[in-house]
Amino acid sequence: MPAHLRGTGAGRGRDISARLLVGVLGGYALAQLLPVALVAPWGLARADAVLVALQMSFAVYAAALMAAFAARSARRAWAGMAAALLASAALAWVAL
Amino acid sequence: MGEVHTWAGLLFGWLLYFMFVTGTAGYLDTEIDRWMRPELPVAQYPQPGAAATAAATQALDYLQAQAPDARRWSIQLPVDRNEPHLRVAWQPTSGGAAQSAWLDVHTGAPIPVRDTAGGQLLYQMHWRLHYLPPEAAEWMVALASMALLLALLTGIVVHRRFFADFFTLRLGKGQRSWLDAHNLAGVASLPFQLMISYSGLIFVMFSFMPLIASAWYGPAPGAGRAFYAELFPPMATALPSGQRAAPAAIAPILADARQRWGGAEAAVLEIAQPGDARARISVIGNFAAGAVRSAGILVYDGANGALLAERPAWQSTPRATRDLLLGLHEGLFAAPPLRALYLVSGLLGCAMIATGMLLWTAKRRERAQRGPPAWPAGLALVERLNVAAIVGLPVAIAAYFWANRLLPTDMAQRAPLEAHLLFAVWLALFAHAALTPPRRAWRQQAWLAALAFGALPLLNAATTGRHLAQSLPAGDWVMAGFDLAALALGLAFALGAWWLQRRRP
Amino acid sequence: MMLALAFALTWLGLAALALAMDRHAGLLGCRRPALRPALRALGLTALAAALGCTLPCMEPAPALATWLGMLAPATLCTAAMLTWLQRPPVSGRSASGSASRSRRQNQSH
Repeated sequence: MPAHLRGTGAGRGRDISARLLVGVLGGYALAQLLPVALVAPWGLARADAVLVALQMSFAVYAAALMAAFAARSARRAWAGMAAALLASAALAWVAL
Repeated sequence: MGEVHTWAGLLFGWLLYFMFVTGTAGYLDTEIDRWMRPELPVAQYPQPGAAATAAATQALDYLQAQAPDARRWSIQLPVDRNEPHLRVAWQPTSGGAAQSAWLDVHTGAPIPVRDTAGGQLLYQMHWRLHYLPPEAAEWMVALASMALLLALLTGIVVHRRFFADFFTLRLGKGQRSWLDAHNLAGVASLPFQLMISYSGLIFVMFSFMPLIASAWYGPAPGAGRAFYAELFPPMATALPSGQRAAPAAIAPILADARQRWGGAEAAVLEIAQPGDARARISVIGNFAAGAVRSAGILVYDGANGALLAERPAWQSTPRATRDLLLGLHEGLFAAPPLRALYLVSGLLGCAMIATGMLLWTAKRRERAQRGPPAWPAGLALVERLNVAAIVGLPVAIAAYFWANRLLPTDMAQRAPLEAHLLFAVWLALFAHAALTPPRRAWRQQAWLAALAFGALPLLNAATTGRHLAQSLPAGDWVMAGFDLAALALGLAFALGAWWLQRRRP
Repeated sequence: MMLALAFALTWLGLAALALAMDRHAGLLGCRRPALRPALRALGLTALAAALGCTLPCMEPAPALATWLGMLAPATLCTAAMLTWLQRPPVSGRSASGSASRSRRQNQSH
């Protein structure tokens, strides 16, 4: 059991809840931002670009959720997600 | 990570099991349809060339006589295993549900068929569930599918001895055995499970991730509409003019379509506002012809037969990728050997989920012997309800088949009642499981399943003429296959029940 | 039929790979570690040959799908075979539960 998920009762519960929030909500946002950021520069037709981004989104969501639980601490998970979200948003803004 | 796996599995396990069972049954929907409509003759397909034109002509004659003022006609030509019969449907002008009829492929005469939702209902329950509003069901199914993907990926990550344990199956060791069975079922069919979960999400991707379209099309809800309009542009649609006009002959239209598609046959004809001066005849190819679930669509003027719009099967790589994923998920393109493998993999998926749920309760139960569990009532309830969730569902589906044979054929509302009986029996089995000690409940429901399936061929013989003694010599493999499969299932449940009987503590 | 051959090769390949593993080695009474790389090579070759057998029968996409799908029943058959071969003898040396004992009693008939 990884060190960060050991520990007792309330602390562990807070840790898991924090990671869940980051993973489920942050991941959902990232799943819609990151594919857009990645696909927009390709210059595809609109409908095609949306299709590619949509098909990628689930892989991003799953990876984000798993990363939230693989991170060494809930704080790192939060920081990582925030960074990824900001970077994707910026890239998407520029590319679109 | 292991906890993500456990929680994803626990929260959505029963729903995913339901989806896998109905999905696997739904994969055989056409065969089940035929067994549930024994009045239909042995299907003769494909009917290419002149036979297709003749069938289409007869279908049009029937529709003209039956529903000349309908808003829309639809003709399904007998093309392959998935659509083996000549079937027509029409949308009445007065609104209300669409009506349909099966026609004899040679004479065009309607075949009186009992009112049943058939195997199609089992297939549709896979994503629409039942009794729920469509949006709610779609969200639940989407979340469950996401949970499945997560459970698969986290399952791989936490499976520490992935390669060492690849072929391991230690029997008679309690929780360890359930773990081995769960791992084996999942690992053996892993490519299929990953494909089916990811491609399943593709079906719901538009509604699950609505903001992506907004990035290119502007804010919702306009974004969704605009995106759909570009993805599926309307093809020469027109409002009814109110003026009557003689319909164009269908033979030249079919010949033109065949020629444009290099000899490929049409599968579906749809006629919008038939008999109107602005009628439209859409000729649609076979979506199940290949792994990529796509076909050409040609729209002709219904009055003079001129081609108005065309949509080729291949439009762009992103679209083709989506169509490939959908086609792989549905598996309609598969020839019999691959079809059998799809079926085995689907059953393994059911086993993977069921063993996962049983593993969880076995682990908690073993731990409970060393010290009191955190929530004893909860564990006891899950242990008991598991019986009805896992064995009860197949019994309920068997009850659906029993209802199909036992309800009078001229009864009103027959089709919905068959479905109600499925769920009523399932509910009763939940009640039985809640009130019975688990070991006894497993034995009793397993014997019930053995009886419910094993006796189906007898029921078939008692209620129709299409029993094994008739279908086997006649080479009616669909009917015979269903009866034999029911026997095999009954036998499998009987073996399970007998094994449970022997290890009675 | 090519597909039956493909399945046989898949099963053979997986069995060879299993026998090259620590846990299942020595099943056939032969515990030479030197054989393991050879067994692994044999196994992978058989699996590749199985894929090769599916290709002439159908289009490439369904052929690949068929081969991947075959891995499932072949894995199960291999696991069942190994479990059968590794079952404890009737004299009841192992400490497993009543279920396995009754299985053994059935097998000895």
